[in-house]
Amino acid sequence: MWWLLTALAWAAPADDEALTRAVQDEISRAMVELSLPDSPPIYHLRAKLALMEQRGALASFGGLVYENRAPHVALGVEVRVGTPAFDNTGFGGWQDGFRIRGLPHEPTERAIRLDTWRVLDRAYKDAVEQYSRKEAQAVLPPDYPGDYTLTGAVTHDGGKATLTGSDGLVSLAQQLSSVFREVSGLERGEVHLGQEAGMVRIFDTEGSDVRMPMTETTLRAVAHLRTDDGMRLTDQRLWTVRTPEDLPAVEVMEAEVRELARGLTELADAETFRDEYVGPVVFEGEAAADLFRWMLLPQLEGTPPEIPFDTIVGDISSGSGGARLSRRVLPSGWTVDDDPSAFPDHPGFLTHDWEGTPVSAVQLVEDGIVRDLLMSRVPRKGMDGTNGHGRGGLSQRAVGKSTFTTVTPPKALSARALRKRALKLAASYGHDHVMEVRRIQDPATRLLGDPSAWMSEDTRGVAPPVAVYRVYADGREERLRGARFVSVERWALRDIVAAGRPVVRDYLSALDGDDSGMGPTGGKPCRMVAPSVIVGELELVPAPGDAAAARLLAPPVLTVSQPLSTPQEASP
Amino acid sequence: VGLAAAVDVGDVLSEELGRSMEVLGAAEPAPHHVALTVTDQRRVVLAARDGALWMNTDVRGRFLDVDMRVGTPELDSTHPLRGLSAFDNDTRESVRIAYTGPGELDSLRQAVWRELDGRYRDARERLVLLDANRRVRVEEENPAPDFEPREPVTAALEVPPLALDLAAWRDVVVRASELLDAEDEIYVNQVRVVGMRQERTLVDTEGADIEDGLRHLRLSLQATAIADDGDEVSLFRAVDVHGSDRLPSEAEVMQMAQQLARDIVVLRDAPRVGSYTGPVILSGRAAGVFFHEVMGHRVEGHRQKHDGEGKTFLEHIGRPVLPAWIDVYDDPNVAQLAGHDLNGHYRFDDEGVEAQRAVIVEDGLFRGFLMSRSPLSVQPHSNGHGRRSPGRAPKARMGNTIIEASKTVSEAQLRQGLIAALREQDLEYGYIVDEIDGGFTMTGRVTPNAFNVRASLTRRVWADGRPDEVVRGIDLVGTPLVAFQSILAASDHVEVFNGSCGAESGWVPVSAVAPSMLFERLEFQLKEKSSVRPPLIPKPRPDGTASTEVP
Repeated sequence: MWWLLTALAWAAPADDEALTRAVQDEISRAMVELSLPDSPPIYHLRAKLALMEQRGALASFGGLVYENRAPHVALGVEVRVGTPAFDNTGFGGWQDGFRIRGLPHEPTERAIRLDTWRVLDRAYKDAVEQYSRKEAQAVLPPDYPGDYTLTGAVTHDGGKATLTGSDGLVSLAQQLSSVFREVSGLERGEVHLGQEAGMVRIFDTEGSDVRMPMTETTLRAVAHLRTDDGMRLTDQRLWTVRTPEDLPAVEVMEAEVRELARGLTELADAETFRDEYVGPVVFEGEAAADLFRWMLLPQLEGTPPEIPFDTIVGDISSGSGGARLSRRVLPSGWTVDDDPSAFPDHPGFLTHDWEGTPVSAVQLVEDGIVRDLLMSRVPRKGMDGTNGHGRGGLSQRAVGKSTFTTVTPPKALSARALRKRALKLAASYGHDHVMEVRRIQDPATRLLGDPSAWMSEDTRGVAPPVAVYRVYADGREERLRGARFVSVERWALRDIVAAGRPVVRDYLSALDGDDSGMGPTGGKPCRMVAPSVIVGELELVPAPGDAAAARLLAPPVLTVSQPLSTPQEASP
Repeated sequence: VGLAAAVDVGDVLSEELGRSMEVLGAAEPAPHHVALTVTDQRRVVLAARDGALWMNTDVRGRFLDVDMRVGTPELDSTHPLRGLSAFDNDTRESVRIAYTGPGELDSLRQAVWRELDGRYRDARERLVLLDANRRVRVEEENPAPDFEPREPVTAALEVPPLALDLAAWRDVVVRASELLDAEDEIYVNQVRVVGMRQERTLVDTEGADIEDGLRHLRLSLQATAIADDGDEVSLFRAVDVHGSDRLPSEAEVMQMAQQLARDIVVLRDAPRVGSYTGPVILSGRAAGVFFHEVMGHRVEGHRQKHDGEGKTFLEHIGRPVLPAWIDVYDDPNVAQLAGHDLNGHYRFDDEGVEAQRAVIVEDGLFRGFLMSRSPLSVQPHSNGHGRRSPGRAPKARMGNTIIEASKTVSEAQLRQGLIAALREQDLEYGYIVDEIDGGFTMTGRVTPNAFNVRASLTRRVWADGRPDEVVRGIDLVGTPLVAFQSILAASDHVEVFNGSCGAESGWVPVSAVAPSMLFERLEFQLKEKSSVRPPLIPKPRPDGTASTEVP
């Protein structure tokens, strides 16, 4: 059958309201007509429509390697069949009723309607089949908390952000990466740019309609250096802000990149860590925030893991189930809270979570014991309500995750007092020094450009430190390279013996699951406010270089190469 | 950055290669040949789906390839390892480098340094593995040197700009997609124009210095429909050209879209048929792909050196493999044929060798192989077929594979021949394969040495004169030597298949040119089929309502 054969007019891109209406119309049609015989009905359907502009770039040693500016227009749908007590979700595998579809760069109402029709059809069929898989395999305990919580309609219009200052950002990335030309011998000297702005609109069959503006500008500088003994040294700097105007002054950023490069070359000349160390370790500044980020947060995420799908290749499921409700995770007197609305000027700021629920501040830890958890609308035993911390991509089940976390000790020592305390503890181990960690390698960039290392390196726990110092009582400091932690488990946090002043650390975190495999600008911005700490006992061992990887060739002479000791003389 | 302005990519490559060879040349073991290639690429995509502009991108990229050979031309670090050690064969990855900016050339110098150093250390390690590998294993079946030294070539060829009118084509793809969307039974469609321009700079330690490239544009239309039995059928139509002035007009694109819409509906409603063996006609495009899969991959020179390969034609040099009236050759120098631009056209291969006509079959007798600089004892010289996509090592690959018949009949006579063959074999019907969407073949020894030519539009031809009937659900399969013995006749109508071919050395543009051919006996097997029900609710109509029938 033919329509409009001779009277075709090119449809202009539609406005956001028209696009949204097209999706809503198709959802309405689906709720009435989409059904299979003898199959559970749809009881809840959510759509997330992302209308974003994105810009990405990669600059290396002042040259532009990659640049792209394109709309990110996509529709994610979540189809739930059955009842909130038992539905198709929370069970491992794929084809589970959650689907995403990329939409046209210049969407029309007609095109969106067609894509919605296609994706809902597939998602519904997936949901019905997944429901049966779960029904066939899952043996539920009598106190099974159910799969979902209906909360009623939420409406909110936070507007839409627009992309600004992009052209300047690409130049900035080149300018910052050009600083690496001042340094001879870097294997890699890159600046990655990721920028996006627009909105995500979330609506569901409860009548919710939440429009959330999204705006983020992220730059990350990464450098790698190979030492003469084949050790790969790596470090990075991250700036993640709402708009380009919020970035620090260019001179400040250049100075940070220069410091990054200088730090690596100094580290290359540093003493190699050769003997194991067992004793107290001071985590200072960013390193302390990273310690809490990796060791504490998984214990506060309340969404139950998926029931494993028993397949021919073994059990498939996601989620760690590491929540420690009512358990001690920190010493007495410590508190932890998370409030996604705490920093309105931060790119991670949210008024509503990824299920459209209004966010709320949650006191997670009181007196060192977990009293509450980060929750999405997926219930867990004893906790049937969301607290607005559901995070997940367009086609993922939202799970409870942190956004802005504050870790508060009962008492904060001065830096001097903290060090004194650490040295005293170290002395009890027979050491005349204490180990102090100031920076830790970032998982998103430490193995960049070396994919085989993903296979061979153990990336669990706390990553190897970039900056680790042997600190003596007389104030002497010896920087070391080639150390890594052994067996840092969650109870290390219960062994914190003292805390110092708080530091603020911004980082990027995956919307769902762990952060492995995220690119340098992937994930969503988060913040950790946490104090420097002394962990009573940890073990550091040597991580020697690979002698076979040592460079044979002298590095090239770059056009603005200058000794690092005189960076101010370098040509721009 | 004055220095950067004074030199270009080729200068930097030569300087860094020379600087590094001062050290590596004195190392033990030393490289005997190193080549550096920079490929600068611009790729423009305008795509429409459901009558909306689905993609509009214009992306630049520049890639560095370092081809390092340590040892001697007789035995070097690229020599294939056998057994489990084969996991250490070349696993390089694409190296993306800066293409613009004040640090463009510094970034290049830095990448060349890093890659040369890394590639040398990998090669040195590999030589040790190779030594043990050869000691513990029997002599190879077809030993030959690893590399052919040659006189260096220097050339500088201009690559014209893409010159694609983006605004105009944007409208065309959207309109054509909208036209396809208007057909109720089309589940999804896509119309796209892709323009790609590459500039390549190659230098090596022999003194080669080549600047050349390619320009390629493709207009394509695709429509997918879902039959009532869940079979998802697609048809794909494309026009490949070397310049935007040779792209079809808007009216021609609309005609293509209308024809595609008619054909996909016929195909969706066509009966799904079963396996078959008997007489078959392959259209020129289908015959071209048939030769590409069945013969082309089996005459790639490097395959004759690997003990795990089938080496179908190695023992057939000088012997008949096809009817005496058929010639087969591969000639990348041919830019156009039968009114079409050929995808596989190039002047220099990726090892710096001038492209040459490689005679594969002459008067039905097998004559030789497609050769890179990896020699065979029976054919020691490259004929300019060493090809790769960035990030891979060059291997012998096809360019323009051309099948010529010196004895031809008209298309009508070819059809009469099919009817006659059906009657002779006492069969009710045979098939004509009009369109294919690609194919694949396995050339090794562990898996069957078979081919699959994926038929997308096939007609059933009845011996009793009933009208032809489009069918779906079958692909052409077989084994090479038997299939070639089955060729009965060729028509005087020649067609061109343009596509991309993927193999060990990546994806390379290729063409296959052939006349329609009648085969006495070929085999069809069932094509895979989706098991998902067609959409449960009707496709929404442009006016916002739903169609009355489920598509």
